[in-house]
Amino acid sequence: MRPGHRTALIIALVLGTVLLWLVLDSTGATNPIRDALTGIVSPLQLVFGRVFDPVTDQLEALRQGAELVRQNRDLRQQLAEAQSRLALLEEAQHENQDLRRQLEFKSIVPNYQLIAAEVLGRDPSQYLHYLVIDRGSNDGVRVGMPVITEAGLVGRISRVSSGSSQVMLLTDSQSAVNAYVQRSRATGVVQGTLGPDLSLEYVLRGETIVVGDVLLTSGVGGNFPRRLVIGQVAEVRQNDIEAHTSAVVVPAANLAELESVLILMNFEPDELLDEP
Amino acid sequence: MGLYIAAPIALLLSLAQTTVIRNVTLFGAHVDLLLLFAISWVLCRGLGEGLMIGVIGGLVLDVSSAGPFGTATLSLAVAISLAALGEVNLFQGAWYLKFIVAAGATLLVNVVNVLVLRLAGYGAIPWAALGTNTMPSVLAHLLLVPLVYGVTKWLARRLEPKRVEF
Repeated sequence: MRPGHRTALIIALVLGTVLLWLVLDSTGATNPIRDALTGIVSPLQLVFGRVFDPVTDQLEALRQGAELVRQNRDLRQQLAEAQSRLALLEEAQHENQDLRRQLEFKSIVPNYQLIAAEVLGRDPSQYLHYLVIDRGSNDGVRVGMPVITEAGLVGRISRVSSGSSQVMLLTDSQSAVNAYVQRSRATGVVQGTLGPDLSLEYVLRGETIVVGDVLLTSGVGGNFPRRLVIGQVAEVRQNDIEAHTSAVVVPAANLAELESVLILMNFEPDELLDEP
Repeated sequence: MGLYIAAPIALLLSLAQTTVIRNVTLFGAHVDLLLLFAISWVLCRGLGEGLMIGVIGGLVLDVSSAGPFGTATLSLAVAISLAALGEVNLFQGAWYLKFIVAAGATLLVNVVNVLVLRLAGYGAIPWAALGTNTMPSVLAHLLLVPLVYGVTKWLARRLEPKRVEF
């Protein structure tokens, strides 16, 4: 066979197989294989993340090198040994405050049974904002369960396998959460934008929203419990033509740098569906 | 022989892509080292090994993705097939080939990704997102491809010589 024909045949075979696979995936026929592969890949991601996280931290430091050098020079001038000891104490105090805040958060929602989960990985696609966490059906996790941090809402479980799950983040384009403004009680829908921020939509004209307003889950629709913090209004967009007001919302939880999350185990969403 | 080296590298890069690299950006652009390695390998070693890299790496990406299973593999396979143009005598050895292939492959990966997602019902992904995400990635990949290609070429030269096919 001529090399050109052989190349074309290889390409056709691979593309044909993958396309067939995609068609089968839409019927759910590939789920067992996908789950089996997830069982292999998830532990590898856990190990990989733990080994290379310090390396990426160092790379990040290198990336910000110029700024760090300048800061370092300033700090060297300012800091004496006693001050550095003070910094260590402040760091310990900060950690202490974080832990206290987490404990207080648990006491605010005493009816919720929470389990902690470690973030294993993120969706490699730029167009999908999902996390992979190390809790799955073996831990009682089910599709639809809300995922939070002590700062606020993160998203909801979208797929579950035995040892891991996928979480659809608030920023994903498919995400929509019914919300209300804490100050004015105006209601709307918080949607993902594929960027770092969220978009508050369908707020009736005349309702007041101002920069700095805090948004909470309304509980309407039954997919999330009431009064979970979603984020804060950063910009209000009002258009004379449109019937609704919209706003840019900064998520309360730092979705870009999540390392661990909490799953609300005993909240039953109305749309608690089995996987396709 | 080449595949025994390239496959573990592809596996490691795809694991990195879903863990540590996912948050790494170059001037705000998403960086896909697996794609750059795969197209560089095709340019150095040929399509067969490159496609195997794409399938291995793509499967790991697909397992970690919420999209339809096979989307990453398909988009990588399409992009790698483009890189096979480097085997055409007309372009072979041209210094600019790696830049053309890197830009084209990045564009193709993104187009296939959005196309499959929209066909699968992820209709909320606007076509405009393609432009805002793809162009910065193309520029980032154009900057990175000489480095990745250089390392890949160095590695490929230390392996057995490319088989001559008749």
